[in-house]
Amino acid sequence: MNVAAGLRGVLSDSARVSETEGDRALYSRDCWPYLNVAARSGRHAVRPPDCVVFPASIDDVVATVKWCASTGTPLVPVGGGSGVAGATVPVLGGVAIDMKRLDALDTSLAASSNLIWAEAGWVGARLEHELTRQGLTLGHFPSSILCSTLGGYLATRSAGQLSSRHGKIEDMVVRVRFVDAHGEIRDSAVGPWDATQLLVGSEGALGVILGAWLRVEPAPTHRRYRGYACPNVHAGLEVMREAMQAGLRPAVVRLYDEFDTYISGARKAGRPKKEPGRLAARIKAWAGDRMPPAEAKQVALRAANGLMSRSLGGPLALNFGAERIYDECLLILGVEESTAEHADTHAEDLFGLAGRSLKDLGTAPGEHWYENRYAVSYKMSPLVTAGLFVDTMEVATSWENIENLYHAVKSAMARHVFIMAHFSHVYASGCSIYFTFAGFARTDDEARRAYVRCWEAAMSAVVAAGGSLTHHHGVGLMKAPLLDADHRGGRALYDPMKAAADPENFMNPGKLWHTVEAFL
Amino acid sequence: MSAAVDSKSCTITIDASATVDEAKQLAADHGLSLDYVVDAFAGETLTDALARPALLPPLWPPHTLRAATLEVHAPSVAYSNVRAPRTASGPDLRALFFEQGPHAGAVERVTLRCEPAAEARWLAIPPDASDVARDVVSRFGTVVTLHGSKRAVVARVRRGSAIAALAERTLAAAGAFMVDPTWTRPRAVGVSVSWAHFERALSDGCYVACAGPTHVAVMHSCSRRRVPKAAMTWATSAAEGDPTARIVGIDVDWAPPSGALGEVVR
Repeated sequence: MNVAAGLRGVLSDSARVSETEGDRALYSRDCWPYLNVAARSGRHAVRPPDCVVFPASIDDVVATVKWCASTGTPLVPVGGGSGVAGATVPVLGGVAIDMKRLDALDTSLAASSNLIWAEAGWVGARLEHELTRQGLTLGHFPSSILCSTLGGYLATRSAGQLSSRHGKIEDMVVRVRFVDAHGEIRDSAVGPWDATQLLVGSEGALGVILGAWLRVEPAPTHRRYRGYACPNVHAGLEVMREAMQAGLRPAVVRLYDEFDTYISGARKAGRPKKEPGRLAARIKAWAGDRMPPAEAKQVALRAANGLMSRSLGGPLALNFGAERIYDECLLILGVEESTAEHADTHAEDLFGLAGRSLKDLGTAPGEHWYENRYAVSYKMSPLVTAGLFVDTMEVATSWENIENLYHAVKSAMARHVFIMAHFSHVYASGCSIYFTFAGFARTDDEARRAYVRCWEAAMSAVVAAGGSLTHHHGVGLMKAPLLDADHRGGRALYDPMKAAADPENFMNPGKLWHTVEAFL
Repeated sequence: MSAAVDSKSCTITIDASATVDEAKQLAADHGLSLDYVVDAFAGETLTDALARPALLPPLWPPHTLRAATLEVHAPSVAYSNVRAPRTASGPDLRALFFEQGPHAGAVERVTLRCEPAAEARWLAIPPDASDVARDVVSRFGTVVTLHGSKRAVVARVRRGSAIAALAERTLAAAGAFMVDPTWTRPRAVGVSVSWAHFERALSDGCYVACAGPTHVAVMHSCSRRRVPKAAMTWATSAAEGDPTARIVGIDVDWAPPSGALGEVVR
């Protein structure tokens, strides 16, 4: 059976079906770092889709779903492909359906009811730009905003950087419209049961999300940011907790642990900037005088590689040293409101609370963060090119358990990788921790094995400490084997629901509780 | 009744068979407040409250019982979700136990999110100032709820901060006035409509049950648990033209759940 030919027979002339090697390779993976590590070591285990469909309308989506259902062909919905857990990896091949051309927007109820209708294909930055033009904001600003879509946000329970002001995506959605496995278009909350929160986070396994009714707010026009120096993580966490439990709604609440404070450079904001990449530039300059540019680049890379090997090759010692050398944490707080009076009043409460126990660093650290808020995601590629593996892990728990979880994960990972963390996405009852880690091994296969060991240690520590395995990256292939830790007994609930919703099991098969193999 | 309190995380864990009033008392005994549970009727248990269709979409800030951690037990399943403020670990399976979902077991215990108890004022906002009410809910995150049989929207303003004082001033400027926060919630059927359809949904005998940043629940009292046809006809008519409207009720019976993930719209 030729999948592409079959689909071309049922789709409109405006739809596109691609079988090119490039497209199939592109849609065989998302931004899950494991796939980079595995590919580097020659173990690129994923299977590409048979073809990629670019529907031009909802009718095309319906036709694709019906065709896949009738032929039992796996169907994987794809947004921006920016996921970092492997949720859109087509483990059984089939059809990848790229939703980005579905970008209708209805803002007619925004002024009267704070409501918009937006289709799944909207790229976050474009959507926010369009809303800003109309004096509105969704308030969803993930660091992937330039390359991720609304459908992806909904399918993975995404969070933006201003979640303490606006909530996560599941706090913004009124109802979801989706195509079910029979090709019917459904709304998630019309009758006496609201199934919206089952579709949200379903990662394509229960239906193809077409769009959603979302709550919007007036776009903020006044921002007030400040930084504070905390003697330790505990002192910063206390201020964060007090602010949220006092009913304040800060836009930004980010506490960097000691080494993340040093690495992020935000603490140094306002001081004269050093030349970027000074060491690498020096090596390159030295080599450039002696050999052709291409060769010089290789020499520089090898030299950087060697330096990192020496430092990151012994992560336990490095982590031990970092904990003792750096003794100050940075807390960034910010408010964003649509009137100056509101912003000033909110800032008075928030900054007053922080200033009672922490040292005020002024506005520069917050402004530095704001200017660079999307940059960090794009700093990883050069490190991977240099031979490192780099990844992030976002977990969450209650305030009572937050420091226990932080120390448990750090302790479990310290022997495998160099690790740092910041605390963000703050609630009255708890918050999330965002770990960033980097490791190095002499060969690519050793790096892959080290990466796997590190994740296994980390996830075991999270489960043992009673935290949630993921706050906003989703499940994908990586966390699926441990899903019952977050939902004890969850599989017994999910299986009958999945069987009823998708009896042919063709909607993103091999995901959530139905993982086909332990990828790690 | 067994119970546990985590004051640092502002949560209480309590049997689901407890009444909402008992949960509120437990919270109060530990300096916490459950004031956001405003639509429970007299003697309603947590089990009943969770099984009733929500009057408003559960939007940020999450003033809703549906933010609870559940412990569910049944012959075929023992389920509980991790105690974290938010997760991204797949579909939120708690939804299977809320409202008229395909309940797979009985909720035994719940961990409810509270907030520290604080002095509050309740201010009634007349319907002709509904834009101010919506703005205040959206910008300040105050709880807005029912006031007896009057048609006014009522906002709870938590005091003790400059931002709360600003919210109060904003409301006062729109003609809001202080009210007594004790009221009863009569059995009713109604419609949760977007603010754009609020004025149209209001009719004689209606009251405002609660309001959020996007929707208002407008209710019609009814004397029997079985919803009279006339009340349902009114609610259906009030929902017409609003693509986001939903029929809701307080202490009334609903048709058995279908278990389907949403309604066919096309």
